[in-house]
Amino acid sequence: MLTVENIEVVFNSYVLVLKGLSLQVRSGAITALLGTNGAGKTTTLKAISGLLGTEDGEVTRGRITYGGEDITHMAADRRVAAGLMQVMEGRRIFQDLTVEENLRIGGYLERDGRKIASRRELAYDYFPRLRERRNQIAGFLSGGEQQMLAIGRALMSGPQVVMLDEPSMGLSPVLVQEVCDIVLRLNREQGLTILLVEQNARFALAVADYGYVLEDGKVVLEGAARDLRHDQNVQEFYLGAGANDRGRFSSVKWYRRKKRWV
Amino acid sequence: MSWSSLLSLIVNGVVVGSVYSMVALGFVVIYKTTRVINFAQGELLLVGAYVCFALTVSYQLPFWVSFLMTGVFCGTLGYIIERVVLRRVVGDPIVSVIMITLGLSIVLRAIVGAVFGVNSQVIPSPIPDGAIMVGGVPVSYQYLFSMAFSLVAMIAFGAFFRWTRLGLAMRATATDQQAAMAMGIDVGRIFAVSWAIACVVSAVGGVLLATISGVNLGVSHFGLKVFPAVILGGLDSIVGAAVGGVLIGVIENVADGMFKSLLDIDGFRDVAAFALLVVVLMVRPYGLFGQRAIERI
Ligand SMILES: Nc1ncnc2c1ncn2[C@@H]1O[C@H](COP(=O)(O)OP(=O)(O)OP(=O)(O)O)[C@@H](O)[C@H]1O
Ligand SMILES: [Mg+2]
Repeated sequence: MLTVENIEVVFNSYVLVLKGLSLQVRSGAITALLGTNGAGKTTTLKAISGLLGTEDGEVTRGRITYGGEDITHMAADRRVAAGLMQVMEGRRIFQDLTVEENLRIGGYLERDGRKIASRRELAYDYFPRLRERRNQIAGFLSGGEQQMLAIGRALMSGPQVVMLDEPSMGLSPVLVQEVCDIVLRLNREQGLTILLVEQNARFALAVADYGYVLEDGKVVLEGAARDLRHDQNVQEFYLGAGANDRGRFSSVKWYRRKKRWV
Repeated sequence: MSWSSLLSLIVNGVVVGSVYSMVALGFVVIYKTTRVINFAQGELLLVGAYVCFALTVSYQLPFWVSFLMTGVFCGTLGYIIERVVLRRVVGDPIVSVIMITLGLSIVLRAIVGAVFGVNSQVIPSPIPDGAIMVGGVPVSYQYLFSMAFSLVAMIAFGAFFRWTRLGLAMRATATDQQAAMAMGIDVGRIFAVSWAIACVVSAVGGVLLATISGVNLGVSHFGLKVFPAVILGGLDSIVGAAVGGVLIGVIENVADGMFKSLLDIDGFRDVAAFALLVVVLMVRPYGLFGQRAIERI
């Protein structure tokens, strides 16, 4: 339903960050996007949600289609209206607004009061802790609660596709597990299509149906999550399972070298 | 100095201060949402005052009708200024944006001067003459009206930001522009709306001022008083701007009166505000109501 075809993204008119990246997000599935720091994961999501403009970036080649429509250069608010929602890296909740006000902003484009109310209930059902703290200033929530608020806020727009950028960042293992469960439940119970960006490959591949590995602005590996979990490169590099004689660090280098020259 | 003369200094200060507050509110709205430091805020007051004057005096419209039309006109003007002038410099270095607003102030003042002349003009007030006694000091109905009107305007303002969809969107944009965009907020429209609002409140201040003491081109220096007012209140605080404006009005009036009667020094008025500003900045660099950034990752 969401297709990225061979896109190039340039910042400040000369920094080329995505170099012909293609991927597909199937309707109703969870798609994972893996990669190291600076691989271009966040940039990919921003290209899809239309947020590059604020950073002087643009898609210079290729196209992005959603539900058959070319959205490559569509305004960000129209993409949200069409059902695409990004949960940005680092949560980016509105710190000096209350929890409930944050949720209301999530439903900004929805004019129907009843829909807003029922979505808010839905968000509170998924995240009961937010209900308890509804009138608190969001900036004083804990990191985990802020992540939940960021996801809850995204639900308020009634999206079809939710793009999560490193939801596990900075969370304790227990909370990562909790987020993991929530992502799965949203997918199963609400039929949400999910594009999940992660450094934590173990978490991502545990919930995803399909995965892409990004490096240096390109897709270097893709496949069913089940297969990726058993792929040797992914295992050594991302899952830290490379217990061979070369040790982890050099295997990382080996991996990089191989990908660059092959 | 007698108690009653002190009290009348305070009352006068509150009245002038509430005009400062209106202008400061406009300034803060623009600063909060767009991070533009608007040096043309005083000229927006001027435009409002003169337009209302022209409508009531030259076109003989009833005061309230021209007041309303002035609001609409200034709102539209603000919207257009943002769209046509400031939209082009979004993201440019702060110095060029400041130069743009300085240029805007000069252009607006020149236009007002060319269209309406340089004479002092007074808008005939709809409020009847007369006064009530407060603590032995007469306070005219006109003054009471100005204070009450500013108060109502400020409360309406607060309510707008707290409860309306657009007000919330403006606050969200003020805290995190990109995240606001990700929520589907058309940030460009929010910018334009904040200019529209800023123009309207400044115009209200201008009209109030013109009914009390009249306006001339020199009144645009009210734009400069905005700085002590908003820095006192905290650059990003709506309540702070309102309180800061009134406080500056009172302090400069009282200080001026005291220096005049006790030390026989004239013209301390303008010094007082800035002297206070320096003291406040030393004690609370983020203003009386400004927020220290919430730091928590
Ligand atoms: N606004 C920008 N201007 C210039 N370069 C940028 C900009 N944003 C990102 N980049 C560059 O693009 C590359 C990819 O960045 P991106 O944020 O997409 O990486 P990422 O895969 O999300 O990394 P991480 O896991 O650290 O979040 C980096 O080298 C970064 O320096
Ligand atoms: Mg990233």
